[in-house]
Amino acid sequence: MTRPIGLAPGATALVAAWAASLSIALLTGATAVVILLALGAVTMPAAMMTGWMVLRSVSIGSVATDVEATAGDPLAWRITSTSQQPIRLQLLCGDETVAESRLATGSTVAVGTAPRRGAYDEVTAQLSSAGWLGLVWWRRTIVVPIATLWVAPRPGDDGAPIEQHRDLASAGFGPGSRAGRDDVDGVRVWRDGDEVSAVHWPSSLRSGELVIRQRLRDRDDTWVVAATLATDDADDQAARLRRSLERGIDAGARVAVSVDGGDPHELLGSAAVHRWCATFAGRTDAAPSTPWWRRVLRLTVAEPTSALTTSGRWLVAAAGAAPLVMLLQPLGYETGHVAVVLAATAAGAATTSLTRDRWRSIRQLAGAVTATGVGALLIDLSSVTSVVTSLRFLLPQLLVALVVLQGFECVDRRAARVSLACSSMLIAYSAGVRVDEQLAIWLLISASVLGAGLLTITRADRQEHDVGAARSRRRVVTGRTAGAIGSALAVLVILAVIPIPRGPAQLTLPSWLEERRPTGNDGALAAPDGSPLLGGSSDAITSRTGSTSDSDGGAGSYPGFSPTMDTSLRGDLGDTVVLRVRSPYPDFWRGQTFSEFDGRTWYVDPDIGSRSEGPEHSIGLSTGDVRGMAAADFIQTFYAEVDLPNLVFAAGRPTRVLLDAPIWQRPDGALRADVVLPAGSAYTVISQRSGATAASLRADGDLAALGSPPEFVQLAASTTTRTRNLAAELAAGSPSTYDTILSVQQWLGEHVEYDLDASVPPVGVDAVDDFLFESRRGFCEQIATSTAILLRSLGIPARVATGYVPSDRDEIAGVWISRASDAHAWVEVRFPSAGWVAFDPTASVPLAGEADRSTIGGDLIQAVTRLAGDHITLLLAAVAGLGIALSARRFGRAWWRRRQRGRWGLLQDRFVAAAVRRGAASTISNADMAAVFDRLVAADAERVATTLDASAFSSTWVDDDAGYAAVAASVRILERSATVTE
Amino acid sequence: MTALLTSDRPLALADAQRVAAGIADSISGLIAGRRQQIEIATATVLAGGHLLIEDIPGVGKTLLAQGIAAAVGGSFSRIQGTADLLPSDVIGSMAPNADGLGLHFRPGPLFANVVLFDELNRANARAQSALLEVLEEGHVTVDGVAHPVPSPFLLVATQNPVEMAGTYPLAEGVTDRFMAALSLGRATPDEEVDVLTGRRGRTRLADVSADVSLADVATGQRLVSTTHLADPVARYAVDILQATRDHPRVRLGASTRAGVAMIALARAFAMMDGRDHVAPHDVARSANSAIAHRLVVSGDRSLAAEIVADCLRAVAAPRR
Repeated sequence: MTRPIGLAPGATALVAAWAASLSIALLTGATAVVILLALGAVTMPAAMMTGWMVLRSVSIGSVATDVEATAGDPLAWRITSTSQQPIRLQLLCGDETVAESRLATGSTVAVGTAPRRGAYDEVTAQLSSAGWLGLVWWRRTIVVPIATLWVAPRPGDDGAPIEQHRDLASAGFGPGSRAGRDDVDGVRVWRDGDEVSAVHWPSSLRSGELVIRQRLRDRDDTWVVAATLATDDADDQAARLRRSLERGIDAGARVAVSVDGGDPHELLGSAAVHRWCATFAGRTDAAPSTPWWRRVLRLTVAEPTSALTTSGRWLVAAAGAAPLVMLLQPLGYETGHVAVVLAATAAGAATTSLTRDRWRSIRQLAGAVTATGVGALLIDLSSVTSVVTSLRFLLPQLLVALVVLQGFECVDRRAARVSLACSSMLIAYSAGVRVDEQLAIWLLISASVLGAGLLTITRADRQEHDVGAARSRRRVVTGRTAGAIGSALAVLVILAVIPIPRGPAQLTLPSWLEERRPTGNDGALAAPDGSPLLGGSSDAITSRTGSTSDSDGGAGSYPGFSPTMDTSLRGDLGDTVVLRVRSPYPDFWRGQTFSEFDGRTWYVDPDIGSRSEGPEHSIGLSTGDVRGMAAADFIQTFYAEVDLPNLVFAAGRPTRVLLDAPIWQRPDGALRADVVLPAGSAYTVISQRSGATAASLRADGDLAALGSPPEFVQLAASTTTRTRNLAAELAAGSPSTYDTILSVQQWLGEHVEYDLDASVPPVGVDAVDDFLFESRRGFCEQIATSTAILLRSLGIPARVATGYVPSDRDEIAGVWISRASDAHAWVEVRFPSAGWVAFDPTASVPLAGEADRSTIGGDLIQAVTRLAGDHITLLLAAVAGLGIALSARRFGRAWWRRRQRGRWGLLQDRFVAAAVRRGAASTISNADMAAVFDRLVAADAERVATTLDASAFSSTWVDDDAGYAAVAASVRILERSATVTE
Repeated sequence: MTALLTSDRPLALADAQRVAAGIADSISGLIAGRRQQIEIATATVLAGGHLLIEDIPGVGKTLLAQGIAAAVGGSFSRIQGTADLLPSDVIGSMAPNADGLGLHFRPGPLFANVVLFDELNRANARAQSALLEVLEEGHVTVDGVAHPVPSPFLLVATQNPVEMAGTYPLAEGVTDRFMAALSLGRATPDEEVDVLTGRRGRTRLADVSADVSLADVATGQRLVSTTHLADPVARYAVDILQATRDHPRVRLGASTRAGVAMIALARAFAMMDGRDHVAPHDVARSANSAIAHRLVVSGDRSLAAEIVADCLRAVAAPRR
């Protein structure tokens, strides 16, 4: 029976860390944490099962011990077994533990204590193992029959009543043998009362214990010892009986017991006395047994050894340091601070190496001082400016201090596991905070160090051995590879059913400003440096495009982020990552809307709207919005990667914004902060998605017929007739506005070419007309403008919005990435059922109601496939390189082995491997191995065995090629026969 | 068999192998079955050791001893162990000369090539101890004069382990001097039929022709003692000895002399296989006969064989 018996010390912390990481995942909604959780959910049970697998592979051959023992005396047990792993052995007689040891391969000698009085025919071997990671202990119970073990009580201080008979007949016996009186009758072990002159010194010296010559005595003295069954304490009675009977034997008398005054029963020799005392009248007491519920509830099991190896200690320290660095980096700490933390961690690992007790208090003191110092230093350096930032910064400092402190106390495995649990929490925490592209690498590093640490602290138990030769090693490697692949697949399967989190829970909506840089204007647009953004003028834009290669120039230079937008200008924006957005869906991150158009330039509604103070802003309906029909909140967290203007981006209809600064809510739907958003800032927007689908939009029918506020159907005076005609032509036959929009988009798709280098329209010409009928080349601003004007000419309410679209997704961090070149302009059409709905022929963002949240696993697979597709040559080269390296290693090893073992040695190894495949034990001699092969190949087997032995042990043996060839041929035959019959 | 006298070792080896086969075949003609025990007996003869047979009466213990004597064509004598047997009854005594002027040594029954000491454990401890010198050194000392026994000299002792009443259990010193101990065990029904019909058994004793001479045996013994023993194999034997000393059921493990006996037997087995070197399985094969009877086991003596098997399992055989 194999069953789990409890957790290893400290393993509870790992389970608790997993649960805590679950709450981190729920609080932050970070994809990376979910991936870590899935990893833990697969690897922890797998690691727990290794103990079970280890135990299943063990078999116990035989158990041997003495025949006679005295209760409580030391008793040695010899156990033969096959074991590959650290296995703890507990031998029980009945319910009493008689020996504990670690099971070694082959034979193990375990010294324990003899059990209570009695005769034992079997012994219960309890094997326990925690497998590779040492998390859950398993126990297997095997009952092994043994040659009967007689355990007699220790002779009592007092004897039982004795009746001595000189007269043989009166005792009820015939005459004793008088032959050989006083002759030496062999030797025996010294007993109290023996004469010193009787010691047989040669035997004593050889056996290491006092041995005396036993002389035949004249046995006409007979002792009859009275025993009584009616006793409260049978053990005590047996002890007294033994005392008396052994004294009788020592005195050379015949001994007999009389139970309750019955006929005397003679006991011949001390062995008989021993056995009689062992089984007399049963046992009185029972050992106190643990109640079943306590056995079930026991959570931790003591480990055979708890000491940490040096490498284990340093790996645990590294497992703590890696997530610390991973956490501190994105929080803005610089190399110097990271170095301080690393030094403190290393100091912890180095100090704990001083294992002597007198260092203990010094260690604790050093730990406390270092942790306080590091914490104080970090607080000092973090420049806390507000409540939010202090919350954001104090938690890591607390964690750093705890990890450093724990490092100083990490002296045994329990502490090491707790430390690793802390580290895994840190990993999860930093995975929740970090959104950059290095996250995957850091996760890989941290998780690897953590796993290596877990493996190493358990490895100290493991024994190295070489038996089983190549075969079992290959099986182990194959098993581990299969396990790793299986686990990876299981992780993917789990992730494949977990959808991308909907966003961070409200409790921990991240919102912080790296720096307060007020704009000083009443909601006017400000460039990242705080200066007013005016836009409109070609000169200003041209001058700004010159600086787009700077890391923070990308966002401010987009003409869409200004009060006026000249549709003919775009500028060169570059590929700098501008925004990372954590959200379940991709969407248009809207910054501005434009509704007034003069033929070339769009103008922002000058109404500055209302101001809310924050940090939590409730956003009202803007003009044209409707209350959404979506049920769930759509949460987006924006991380600014470069300095951004004071635009607050949002998707759909924002209802709440978390930003630690006042916000101007403009009636046109744009949100502007009172400060600019420097790189490193983050804010969260909670929106309603319209939930519009193609069907629901079609159901709204023709929007022109419903009428609209004039500003959304305003047309420039320069709008040409052919533009209106084209619109009418495209709208003809469309049953609903939605279809009209689609046909406009289709027309544009067919007749217009997307071109960032399109020429600027001549002065005085309507830009839309020029784009639609003359140049037919343009970029998103022109396409959006043309669509809006075409729709407006039909009486459909439409406006142009600018902002960012996500270009790709970081699957590990789970964030959408927008680069400077992802700045975009698109059309929004106002539907009565859904409010403003974005349309765009160039960006592939689906309608809100039709978007499916993909799963984390699906995303990961896609990412891997894409990566593999993109770097196919690199991948092939890596695989080829790996293959070459592996085969080089293999050849190198083969060469080295050949050099070490010689050609006959290699033949010997092959012969052993074949015999082991046939079921031979790997320790038997060559001749015995030859016997395990089929009768058909017996001649070959014998030749191989004989020759190999001759090559190893003969002084006259000569190595010749012909002999080698013959034996090699025979070995091949044997290998084939072993493979066929396997 | 002249090749035995030459220096051509392979040829000598082949002849020695024939000597061994001759002895074994001769005994097989008498004793039905029990091939393994006959091989051990033959190996003991060739290794120059002495044999202890432990078994119940009537399974052919005496016949085996007589068979060995007949096979090697040596002189044979027997001593019956009794409680009043005196050392002088065994080794001989000083007797007055015919002229009455002095004493001369009158050899006892021990002076033969093959001596059968029947029921050794019924002889008293003094008579048993009288054997110690001759078993180890090949001569007896009477009145300070050493008298060598004939060479080759083989003592076959028997004891009945079942009926122990009135016996003198062999001291360790005595058992330790027997190179090998074996028990014949019962014959199979077919073999018993052979015995009853006279195809095997004592009736055939007269028919045994000595194909092998005493000189052949002596040369064979010399050859055995020079069979090559490689260090790893010796180490293997030592490991087995050590394993018996560490075994929990053993009170007194095997002595170094046990190891010497085991290797001597192993050498003989190697030669009987026609090899000039000792292989590990020769050692394993001789371990039980050479070690089991020397162990002082706590509890049942019959466990000794099992303990030796246990020790053999626990020690890995050397190989190339």
